[in-house]
Amino acid sequence: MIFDSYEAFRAVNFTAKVCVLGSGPAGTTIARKLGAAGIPVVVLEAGSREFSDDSQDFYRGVTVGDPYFDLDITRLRFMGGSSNHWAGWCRVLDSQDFEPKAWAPDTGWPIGRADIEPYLPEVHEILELPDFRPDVPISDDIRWVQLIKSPAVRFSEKFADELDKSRNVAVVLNTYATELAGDGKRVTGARLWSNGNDAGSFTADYFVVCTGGLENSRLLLWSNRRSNGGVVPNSTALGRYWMEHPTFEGGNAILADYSEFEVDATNEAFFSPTLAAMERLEIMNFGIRLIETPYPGIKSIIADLACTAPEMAEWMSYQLSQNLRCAAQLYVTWEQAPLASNQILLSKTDVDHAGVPRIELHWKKSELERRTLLEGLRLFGTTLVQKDLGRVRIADWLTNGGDYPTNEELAGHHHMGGTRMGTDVTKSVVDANSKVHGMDNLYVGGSSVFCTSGECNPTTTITALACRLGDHLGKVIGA
Amino acid sequence: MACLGEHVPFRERYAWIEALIERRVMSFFTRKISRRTIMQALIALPALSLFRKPPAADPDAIVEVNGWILKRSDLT
Repeated sequence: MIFDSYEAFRAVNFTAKVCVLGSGPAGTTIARKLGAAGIPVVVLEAGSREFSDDSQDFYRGVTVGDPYFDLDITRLRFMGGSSNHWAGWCRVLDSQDFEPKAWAPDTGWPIGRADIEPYLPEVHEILELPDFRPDVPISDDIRWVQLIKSPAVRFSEKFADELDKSRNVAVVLNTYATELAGDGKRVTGARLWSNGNDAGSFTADYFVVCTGGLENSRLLLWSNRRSNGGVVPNSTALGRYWMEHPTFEGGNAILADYSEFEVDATNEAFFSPTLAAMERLEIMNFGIRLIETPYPGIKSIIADLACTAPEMAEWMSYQLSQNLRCAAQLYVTWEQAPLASNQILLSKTDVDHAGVPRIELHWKKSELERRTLLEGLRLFGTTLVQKDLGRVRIADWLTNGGDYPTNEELAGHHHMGGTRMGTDVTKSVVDANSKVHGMDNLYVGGSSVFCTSGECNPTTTITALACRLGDHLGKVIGA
Repeated sequence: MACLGEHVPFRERYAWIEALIERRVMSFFTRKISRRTIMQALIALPALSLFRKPPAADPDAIVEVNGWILKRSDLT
């Protein structure tokens, strides 16, 4: 069932056991799992079926620190959430991403990759993915990894019909949960705002917050303030350890034979470090994206090399004449070290139309990340030399210690952390089952529970964790 | 000094000639080359190692030049 307003939903007297806030990949997946298990669930979606400027305006906020995207652009507030602008790139966090790293404080998850493996067949079905091929080590330091560019499932389009016909799932559009109320043990209700007006309160036995990697923290911070700590009793880490995947062009490569690597449909290939290399250099994970360079770009690279290694440049010119696909740009995406200082705060001066304080995002890249970027490119370059696969040139701004460029991608629009998973209540918000510490009926879904980000796009892992949480909740409620 | 007919080893017999030559040679050096010059020559001796042929560099060694990650042999 899909309703366009809370009033319309209220008229049908549907009694929900579980209230899911948000209809993005996490919310929709959890609701479908619960619905399939025969558990009545209501999904409250703040936006409507389509994009609107009025709805996006609720997402405005400010960023303090490094340059970042406008907060009302980097996510979407309508049915299907940010899956509506997702590029469809898929990969699951590696086993090593779940492990603590001695050289990076506050890393390590309370679960491992094995805990989400059983859900991957479901994830493949949801995201319409072929099987991943195993990673291919090309040296002791570098793995050639696969990142599948899937059809970019729009959750609203794919599942709207199924949800509309469902007897157990009710999706209520244009209904914004402005705050949760809690008594320090349980959430007792949600305050609603529907179609521009206060719509009273709503209650259910369980609440699952899936409003996105920025909004989850905002909602819980505001709710906790309004309930005097009754929603997140252990709130030291709430909003903190927020992470992105910074992305910058770090250099170029000239390959002896571009066909050495099986590239995808857009002529791209992806590389990541081995755990041994990360340990040895004490760096975070990273992903190097090799993108075919347009022809004019190749000539300038070779001209630059001619000043340093003329014979090598001559050889590359020869390669160029033989094969116009031999040069590539190197885009690097890396894992941020989790820092408590990278955090979501509530604005002291600005509120949205419903009176909820907007987000003030404090975000800054660290020195460890800068080193990860530089050493990562050196590792990749060294591997290409050792294997006689090609040569790498690292961008001047990196070798000269210059500032990050401001005219590039900046990051992946991947909002992670803020309600991270863990066992230490001072450094995490939810437990290994995504239940808020100290609360009996409050769970969190989505990438805000990530402890660390790995280097890959988060949607596949978000969906796997949502399958796991849906399964877990089904068992808890069914017991 | 040994007496006639007595057996004297050859080196001792002519030691006085040896001493005479040594004095003359040394006085030649001290007259023609100053002590300061000798000291300067001695000080300069270690610098001669610069003219020795260096050990062959590994052509496969990885080097980073102007941002390029290269093999040393790429630079020849």
